[in-house]
Amino acid sequence: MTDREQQEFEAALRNTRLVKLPEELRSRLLAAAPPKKARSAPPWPALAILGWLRVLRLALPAAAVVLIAAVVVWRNASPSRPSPAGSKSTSGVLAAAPLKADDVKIEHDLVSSFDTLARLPGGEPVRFRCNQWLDEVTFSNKAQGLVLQERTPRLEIVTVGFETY
Amino acid sequence: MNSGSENEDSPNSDWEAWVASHAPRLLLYARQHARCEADAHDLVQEAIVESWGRQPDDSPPPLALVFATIRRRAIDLARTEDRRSNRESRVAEDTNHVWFDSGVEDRERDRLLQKAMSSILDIYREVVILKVWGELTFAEIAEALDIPANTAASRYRYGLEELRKLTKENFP
Repeated sequence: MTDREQQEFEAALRNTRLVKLPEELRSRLLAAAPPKKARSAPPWPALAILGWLRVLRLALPAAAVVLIAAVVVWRNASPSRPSPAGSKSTSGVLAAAPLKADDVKIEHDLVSSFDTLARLPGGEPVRFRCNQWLDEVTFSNKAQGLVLQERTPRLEIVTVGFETY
Repeated sequence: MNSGSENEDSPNSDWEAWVASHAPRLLLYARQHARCEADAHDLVQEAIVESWGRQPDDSPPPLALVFATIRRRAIDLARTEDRRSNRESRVAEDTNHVWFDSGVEDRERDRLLQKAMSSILDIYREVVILKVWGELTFAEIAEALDIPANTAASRYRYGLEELRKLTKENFP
């Protein structure tokens, strides 16, 4: 059968009208009219949670960097403060020297990855991929034997796909 | 996908219009899976009510969803009552109910078409009905039947060829 013959045959079939609905079934269906539902569905809590997770994903590494910077500044500012005992302790010696990292490492370790399913208000399933990361920032100063390490867990949620039918 | 219209002021007339427009094609599909006419009626009603209930608002459900629900419920029914093994022969034997009504002059042609439809393979007939009278796309048919879209397309073509052979004299 050529494409043209197929199209003509399809058209002929479509012109074949279906028999009318039996009155008994029609009455049943009309009686089974679904009740009206509320127009405004409450916001789905999971969507709000996902929004916050997205914010946290960006905010947590930034907070870690700020924290480390604050520690470094604080350590640099320490020598200007008067020593209560007037003697130089070990920490005082360390603090007196300017702190400068000679090595900085930033690592992202994937701890785990798994998929999870949620449902939209309409009941359609949506699949998410959850990746648990561990962000690690390490400042080290070999001369002073100083290592500052900040580890921040991070949860990354990515929409994989809507599965509808 | 044709899912009907919506009007807040007249929900009953919308419902009536939706039933008038879509229920006949749903019934045709249900008849392919049901043991008898009564079962087909039950399948249509239950599938529509279930599909509509799953909608978040008052909008009509997508037709593909209703077709898929009919199919799932028919399989469940067949499993429950151990009717599945006889389904194919049942469709062919059930000649009490006509499927098409194009008018008096085409009555014989409609009867032969129904006979030809009954004689082709179940998997072909299903796709042909969903495509021609259900007006679904191959992607929607694939979702409704849980098969790849390419499979749906090839079954449709095979089904049309079979039908064409059987009805060549009536559909020149």
